[in-house]
Amino acid sequence: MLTPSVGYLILLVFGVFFTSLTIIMQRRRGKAMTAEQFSTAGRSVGVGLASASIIAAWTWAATLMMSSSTGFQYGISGPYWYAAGACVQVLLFAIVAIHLKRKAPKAHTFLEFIGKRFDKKNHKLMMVFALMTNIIVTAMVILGGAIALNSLTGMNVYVAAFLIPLTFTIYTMIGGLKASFIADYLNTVMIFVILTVFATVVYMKFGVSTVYEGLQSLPESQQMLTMASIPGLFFGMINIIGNFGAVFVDQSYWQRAIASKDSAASKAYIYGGIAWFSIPFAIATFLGVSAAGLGLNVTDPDASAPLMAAHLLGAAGSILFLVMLFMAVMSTGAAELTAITNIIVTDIYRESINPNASSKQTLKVSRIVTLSFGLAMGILSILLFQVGIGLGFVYMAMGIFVSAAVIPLALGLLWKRTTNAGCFYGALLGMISGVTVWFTTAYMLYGNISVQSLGELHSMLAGNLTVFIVSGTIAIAHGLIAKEEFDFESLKDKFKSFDDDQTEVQTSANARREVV
Amino acid sequence: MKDNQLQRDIKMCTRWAFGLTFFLIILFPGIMFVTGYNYSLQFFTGWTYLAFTWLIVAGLYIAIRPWVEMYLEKKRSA
Repeated sequence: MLTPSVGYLILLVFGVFFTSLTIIMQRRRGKAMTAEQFSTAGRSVGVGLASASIIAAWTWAATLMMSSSTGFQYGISGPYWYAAGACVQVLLFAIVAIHLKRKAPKAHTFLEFIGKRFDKKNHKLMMVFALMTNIIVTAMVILGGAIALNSLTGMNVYVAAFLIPLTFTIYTMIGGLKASFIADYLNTVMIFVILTVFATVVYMKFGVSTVYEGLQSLPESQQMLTMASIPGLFFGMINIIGNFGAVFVDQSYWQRAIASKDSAASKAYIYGGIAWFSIPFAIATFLGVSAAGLGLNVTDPDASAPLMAAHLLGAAGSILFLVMLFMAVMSTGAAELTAITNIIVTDIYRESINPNASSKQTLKVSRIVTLSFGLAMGILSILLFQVGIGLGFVYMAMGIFVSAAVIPLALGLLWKRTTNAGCFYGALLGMISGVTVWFTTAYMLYGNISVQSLGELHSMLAGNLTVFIVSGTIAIAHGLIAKEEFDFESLKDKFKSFDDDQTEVQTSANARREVV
Repeated sequence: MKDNQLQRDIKMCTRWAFGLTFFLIILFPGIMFVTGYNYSLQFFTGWTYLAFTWLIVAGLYIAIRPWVEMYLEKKRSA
């Protein structure tokens, strides 16, 4: 067992390392940071870095812990469903990413696009969905990391929840999106290295046949060694549907398309999705399924991965696992933080508060927003924890709350006949009816409405399906009936860089002077 | 010119995205589910090798590609 000081040490080392790395990179670059650079990384990121960063953003603490839990419970179908069920969203996101690149090459957020494509009301509704997604994901990631640190090292969970965001807030505040990309790259590579170490040790120490025989002799061996497992399939379906909201409505994935070069935007998601597949697939097979096969004494399936890591390599295994987990938390946290900052700066500050802000002003506001949100997220996570909202519940329920925006959003980008009203009411009614069906199903099937009955697979599945069917039907049907056609070409000049506004304001001021 | 390239990219990536999605969540698990195949030791070994190889290849790709791109960029601008 590790001591709390190991936890503090890991936080300190990574916080200091990435902050100094960012400062050194800034110095070497030699150019002053601008607002546009801060929020888009210069729109010059290549395929490799972008896909590493997509992987980092999509590798949550849950990817490492929950996937192993499914492997431990459902056998070999668990890892497959976890990996396949959460990687298709990233693959399909490639399509909307490249459409955004083509139709609005200068946008900073997907909401900015929505604001220009539809009206103000729609913009606000989508913004609520987007901010909700970002805040829930950040809180979930921080809490997941804090709980893991607490259970592995005994570190105080509240202190951990407050210190974790601090480690990535500071370097993000200094270096913006580009710094987050560099940290993502290093984190992703480390996660791959540590996973390879674990997988190799499983082979060397136990061998495949020991695990296989162990799985065969389990009482539930019927489902452990086949893909035809009903609970596995059920989990897979919920995983597929629930994760759409977490990718399509999350600005941090759009951000990666915006920051990429034109030629890299779509490829990065395809390559990133395929490469990401291997993370949950491998960790859950080598730590989760193997833990079951080796007959490890695991009381809580969620803890099967760290227990197996400790079983493989002792204290060193625990530290490696902790480092891997913390890196996953840090890079997702930084990605979410830049996403929140971008939404607030682009869609609130530049849209309503100060449309003519100079590059310098915008940069200053971006940094203030990053810092204050970073600190606030720590406090919010602590509050959530105090209220007693469980992590698993939030993870499962999130789809119902945010997925209503998925189809209207994608249609708005892909289909010229999508209407403003169809999109708005689709998203709004989709969410309302989804929540209603979710509660009704829970009441009809289990006789009461409680966190437990709401958390059951059947209620979740019914709620999630309703959200998609209702929002999709309204958005498509109204588009077909209304027969409006939108001209995407008209959008192209409507987006402005944060940097060249200043010159524009000056020229218009000059023009005014001339008129006078 | 640039728009043509993007148009082509759109076609390519739509095909790949839908193709891979179909394979990963319908075709492969569908076949495995319908046949109800129970993994033999040999198949299970192959399965773990697949997980391992996938991990190594993906890891190498992620680790190396950004450096190659940086190198090419430097060469082009020099």
